[in-house]
Amino acid sequence: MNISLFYELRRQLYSAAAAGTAAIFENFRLKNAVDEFGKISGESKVFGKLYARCGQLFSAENVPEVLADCIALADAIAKVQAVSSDNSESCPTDHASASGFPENIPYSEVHGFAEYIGNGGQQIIYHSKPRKFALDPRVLSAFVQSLKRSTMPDSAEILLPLYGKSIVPLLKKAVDMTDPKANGTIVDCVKRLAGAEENDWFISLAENEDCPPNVRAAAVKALACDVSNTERLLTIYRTGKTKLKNAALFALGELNPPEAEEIWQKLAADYKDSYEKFFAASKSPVCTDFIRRDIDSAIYDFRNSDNSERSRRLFKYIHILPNKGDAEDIFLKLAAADISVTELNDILVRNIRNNSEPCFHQLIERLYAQNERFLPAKIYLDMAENSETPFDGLEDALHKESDLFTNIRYSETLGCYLAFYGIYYCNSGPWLPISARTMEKIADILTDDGLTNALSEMDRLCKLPFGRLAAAKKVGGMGVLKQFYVNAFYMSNRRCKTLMKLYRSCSPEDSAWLREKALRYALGLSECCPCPAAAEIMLDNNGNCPPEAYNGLFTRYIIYLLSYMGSEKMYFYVRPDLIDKFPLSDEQKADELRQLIKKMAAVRLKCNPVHYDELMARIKNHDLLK
Amino acid sequence: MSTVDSITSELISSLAPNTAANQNGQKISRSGGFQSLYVTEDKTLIFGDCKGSGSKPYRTSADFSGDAPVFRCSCPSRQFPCKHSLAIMYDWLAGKNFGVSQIPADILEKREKLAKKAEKSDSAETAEKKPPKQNKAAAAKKLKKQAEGLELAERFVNDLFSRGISSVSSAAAEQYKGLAKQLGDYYLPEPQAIMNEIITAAERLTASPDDKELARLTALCVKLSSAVRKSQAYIAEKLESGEVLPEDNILYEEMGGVWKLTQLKEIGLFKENARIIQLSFTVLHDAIHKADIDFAYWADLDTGEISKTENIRPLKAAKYIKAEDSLFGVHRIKELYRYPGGLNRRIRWEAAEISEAAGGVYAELLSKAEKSLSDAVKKAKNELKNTLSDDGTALLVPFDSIEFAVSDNHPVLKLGEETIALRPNENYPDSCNVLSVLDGQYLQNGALLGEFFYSPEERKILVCPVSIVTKDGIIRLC
Repeated sequence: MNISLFYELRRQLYSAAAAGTAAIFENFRLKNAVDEFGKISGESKVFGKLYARCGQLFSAENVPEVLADCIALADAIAKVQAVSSDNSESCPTDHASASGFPENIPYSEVHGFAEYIGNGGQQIIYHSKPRKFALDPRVLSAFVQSLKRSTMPDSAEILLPLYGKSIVPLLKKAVDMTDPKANGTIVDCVKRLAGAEENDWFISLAENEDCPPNVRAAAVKALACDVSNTERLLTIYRTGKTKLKNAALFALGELNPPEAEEIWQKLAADYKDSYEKFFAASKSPVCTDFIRRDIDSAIYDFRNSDNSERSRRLFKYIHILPNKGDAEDIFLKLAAADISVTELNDILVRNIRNNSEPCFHQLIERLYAQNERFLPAKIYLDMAENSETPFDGLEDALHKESDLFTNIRYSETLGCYLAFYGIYYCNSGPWLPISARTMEKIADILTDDGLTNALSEMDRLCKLPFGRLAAAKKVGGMGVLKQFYVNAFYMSNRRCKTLMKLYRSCSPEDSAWLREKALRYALGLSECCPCPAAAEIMLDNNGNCPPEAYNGLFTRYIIYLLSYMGSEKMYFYVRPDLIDKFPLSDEQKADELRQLIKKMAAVRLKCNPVHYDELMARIKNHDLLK
Repeated sequence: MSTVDSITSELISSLAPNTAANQNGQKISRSGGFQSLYVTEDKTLIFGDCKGSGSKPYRTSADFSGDAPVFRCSCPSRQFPCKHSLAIMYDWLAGKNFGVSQIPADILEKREKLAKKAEKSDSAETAEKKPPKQNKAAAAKKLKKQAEGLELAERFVNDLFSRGISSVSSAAAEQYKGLAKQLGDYYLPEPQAIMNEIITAAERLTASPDDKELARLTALCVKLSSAVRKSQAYIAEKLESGEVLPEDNILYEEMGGVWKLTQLKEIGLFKENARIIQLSFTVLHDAIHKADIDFAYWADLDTGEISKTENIRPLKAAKYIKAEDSLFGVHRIKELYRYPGGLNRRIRWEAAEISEAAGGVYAELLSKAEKSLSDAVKKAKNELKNTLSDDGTALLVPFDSIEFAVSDNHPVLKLGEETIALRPNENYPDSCNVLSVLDGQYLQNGALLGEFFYSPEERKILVCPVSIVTKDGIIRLC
């Protein structure tokens, strides 16, 4: 039986519905299809019924009704006729999950987490239970799909170490070889997880001309996992097309074989801005020399030149500083000149995260020995090496009698690192191994009272006759005094956020003392530097927070912002709704708002009038004052 | 009478009015919001004082002395139970230190009042209770009105087919919208909603043609046409016979009728002492009704029947309706109401006793799966060929293994010599991807809850995987 005649009739019926039945008598295709179908209409009862009904399309009065009937009947027949077996060649999955039977996690929670992944995964860094969710198959699937869609998503930072090598077979299968636009993120992930173990797979992709271009380029890049690929990479560099050539150059930079020296020398001799990413990836001493040659003049220009192009030159060199294990002198020069110390620490930390060579560890040790501003990188290194004493000496550095700014700077940078890299408290987990003392020490650093003491001291001085001058002198001048308060505010807010993150993600047995410590710190800040995150800690631990701590807090917070913050930045931190969350009675809140309105008038001249007026209007329009 | 020992995190989640309240409850519990916590000696009551935004702490209690837990809190929240009531239960669950105390006088008083009220309603129930009187004359009048409305709908479909679905001008669309609006006067909300969807989609299609959308729209028109004519015949028959009250027929709902549980009970659509377990849960978007639907499949542990629950949350009123979530225990239900329908009937209940699903439950569930793939396909085809049925039919099918095709990695279910391809559908677009990341051991000798559907492109019956049942539990793929 030629069943295709039936499907052709069905198709023509749908076309007739789209075109309309008004001129169905002229629809010869449909007529032909009906006539042709007549040949097999005797094969079954339903075919006969359909044929008879279709015949009425050209004679009946109510053609639309007949057409709807015919389509309904044709659809029903199509469903009954449909085959169901699938004889494709198949094989069982070889994926073995690292976890046991998937936990029962409600839809709303999994869906929310998977949505984070879909959005790039930034929020996962701040999620309290990434491990629990990551092991759910629905989340794993969302993660694998996200790798197909984008370049390395933020979620990979957290999730890849959690999954480990167990998902390598899964990832390899997920590479879509049929999609010419497929990206190479999955290959990058496999390289990160398995390295040289998957060298054969990388080679097979790199040599496969039918492979999607981005996947192939990623595979060439991944050849850096094994030194035996040097010759292959040099050949690709010399003969490959641009994409593959660039990928090979990246890999050669990472491998740093002596055979590639010549290439780097050529590039350095005729340096172009487009080489920046290759030089940044390269470990070749040629690239370090390239920076070294010009760093002094670049620092000089940065300090003295009015020409922005010349002063920006320095940052070009800083951008190619990663992966240079022999750049000790350059780091020291930059730190001594007080330029981008945070970024320098960041480079050092990334060096040890991305490379296993001991030279990068030794570089940090040597740098810290000569300049203690490399402390954040040193702490990170110590934690990575599972030292029991990563924080030794840190307390001294924090509390020693140096100027107030130094205290702030050290703590702030470290606080940022802790928040950025998400050092979760997980002794057995896949993150950096953390010693038993780590959590205590991190909490000590974040809650160190150097800042609150300094602020109290400043307040005390400012209240004395000519005290403001004395205070300014202490921090380095009147112009710096305001900056001191601004820095203090940012740092306090960041520290509090980090503390919140710590006590939310720590093990249950540590939660109570961490919360207590965070609350004590937040209460201290609420007097001298009332930032929103401190208020959030208080609210988060409301059960243990004395109710009187909220009295006047909102006023202090707004006045601090108005007094010290630049107008735009101030605007970002203003949260007039914060008072609604405070456990005060409506009457108390209304009183406080009235007090605030009075006090705001006193600092009016210190801030942007537009923002001031807007804020004032919002406060005056508060429901409690209506 | 139960005790506070029956508190489980699942019970708390099911009691929470919405996810936010549940999370807030957990937050209060984690942050130690309760200043004092007490439990009575008989463990029927927990209570305590919780610090809140008011000047005085809130007095919160959870009372398990009755058939259902009673929550009391002095906070001003309109949500019930409030976050404080949920928090105190989380505190109990977390094993926090609860001091032993007498039942407070005010709660004793309230308990007495409640007992009296219950006694009163019991006595009223035991007294001969007349079934609510159903007004036959009104029902007949309504049917006649609906018949008039159906003529309008019929006119609409015929006109659309006559003009052509893919060429609806804006003038015609306006005319149709007027017609759809009129339908509101004829107690036909369901055909009205479908008409509105057809008009919007047809306008969209005219602006930007799309073959897949055209096929969907044609199917929708055919469905409406079929529903209209079947409903006309149904009404005519009812009016003729004089039996005008609703019966076990899907057409009542197709016309937009809403079943009351008492009606379902009256026509025998209920089951006593049912034991069911949720197999899957998802939130679907219903464009026709402009609503989100909390959609779950359930298995009857005694019969193996696969049913569904639908909690429809119109977008306009979304924040006033409690969103549902996954449930994991065995539900023991005194009276389980079943709506008219085919293989996957909609079910509802008023109260359920939830217990943890022990290992034996899953073995029981596995034994209730279909016996063969061909039987399942036959059942599905019978269901799918009905124009008024849903596009997918859920069945629990056993498998020896689920493997992946070498050619394109699509999953294939194997049972003995029989095989069937698994593919995602609109409702579960990621489920095949999830299947592909499952540990191989769970893809052997289990059962798959899948939606059987027809793919016109492949001319095949395919299955969209929804959940996997193993002897150790249920793995949800969505």
